[in-house]
Amino acid sequence: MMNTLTVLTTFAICWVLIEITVFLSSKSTIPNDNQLSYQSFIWFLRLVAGALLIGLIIFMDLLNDFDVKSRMFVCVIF
Amino acid sequence: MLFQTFKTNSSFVITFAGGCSLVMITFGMTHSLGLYLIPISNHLNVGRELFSLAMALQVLFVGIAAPIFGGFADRFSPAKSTSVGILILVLSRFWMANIDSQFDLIGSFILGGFGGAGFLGIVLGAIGKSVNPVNRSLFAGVIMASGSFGQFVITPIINTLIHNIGWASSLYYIVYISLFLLICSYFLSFSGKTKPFSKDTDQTISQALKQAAANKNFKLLTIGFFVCGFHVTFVGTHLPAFLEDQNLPYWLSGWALALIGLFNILGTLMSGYLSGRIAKKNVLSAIYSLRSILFLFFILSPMNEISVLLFSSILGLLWLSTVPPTNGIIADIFGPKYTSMLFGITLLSHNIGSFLGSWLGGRIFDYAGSYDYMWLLCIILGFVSSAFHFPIKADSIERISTSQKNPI
Repeated sequence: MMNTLTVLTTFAICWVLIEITVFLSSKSTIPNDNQLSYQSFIWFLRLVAGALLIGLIIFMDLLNDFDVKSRMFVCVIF
Repeated sequence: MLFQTFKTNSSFVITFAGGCSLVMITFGMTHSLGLYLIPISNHLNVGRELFSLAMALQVLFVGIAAPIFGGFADRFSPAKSTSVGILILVLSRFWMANIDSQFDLIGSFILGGFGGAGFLGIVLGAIGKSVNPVNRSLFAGVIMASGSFGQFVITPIINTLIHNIGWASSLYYIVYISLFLLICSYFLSFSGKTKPFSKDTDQTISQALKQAAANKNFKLLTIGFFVCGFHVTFVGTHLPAFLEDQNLPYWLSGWALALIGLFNILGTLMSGYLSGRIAKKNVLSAIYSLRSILFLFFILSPMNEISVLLFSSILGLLWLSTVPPTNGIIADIFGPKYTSMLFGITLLSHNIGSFLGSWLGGRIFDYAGSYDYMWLLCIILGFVSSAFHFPIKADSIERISTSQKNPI
């Protein structure tokens, strides 16, 4: 339980950073009709982030014997 | 409107779905290879060094083969190129499932690196040709996010397979999944039916290569991308060991890596969105500077649960977020025609960085007994890369073509 609380605190701090960055970038640029609007993007990002966070907490709690470290043995990105 | 593309262009939707699936599955499968470290090392009765070497060689061969497959895709078609890659990948995994010697291990990984090369560059190139240039980076961000999601989802599935049916049998499942990728590859052939947003020139591959080799901005971009590979692979490989050395709770390194994965998905989406609004070279400069500042804060701050998880989350945001702006700058400068091949060249630089990041991390630790020098090197390289990206001019250049060289 304590682990999850610590993770949620971290997530909240990072989420504030994301909101500020996206908000400031949208305010400092001229909107273009061909581009995704700030509102559409931020709501899409919030949905993705929420779904991923819930999925991650369930995954880490249910499969706590899974060796996540072995996943990152060498970060081959392609 | 952005979504107009989806509504009116069904060929694009099919290409996009096929491309995202291809990247998602190949990223997931490649990323799971670390799970075979212990079973294969035990099977061959060798130390872990051999498997590490095989993995490092695979990364290097991905880089070497990426421009070749990229050029093949640009010259013929993305679908043909990825199909060849998939067949080589299938052969390599089949070989890997039947290894009996050290030669088999190294050979199958090199073959896997060769086959797995360029999927990302080819998909980014195919999609980039079909979308409005202002949205190119955003779509690149979505493709990268799908790849990151694949790493997130497919790895536990393969882990379960290894535990339930054994490592060799699980590789046969990877072979079957790889064959399914041929369908995704077929979807990429629809990219030829989408309406291109920019007019192709009659430039040849060798002319494009010569022009890129002489272009200062491309050189800066390629050198800068080296640092991305260096940072990412060093942290991915050595962070768990570093955290263990700090005597932190046992659950922390698992969560730290999981948060890197989660925020990586959000970071690539954000980077794609921001690259459509802010100059891409500024996005890249900011990413590399922020990485250096983050490393500096991390090694200077007291190690506890919050500082480690915050570091992991912010690093996740900056993890693969370099790809959409890097690919976007190449397309902006040289046009979309040879983006796959030129991105493949930058990828070679990235993967040389990956090779060195992984190897030097261990080497310096063995020499100095700590990662301090390596963190310092990462900080310096981050600022250097940021400085390299800042003067890049992403203006479109006039492409030299056969008709221009030989006017009738």
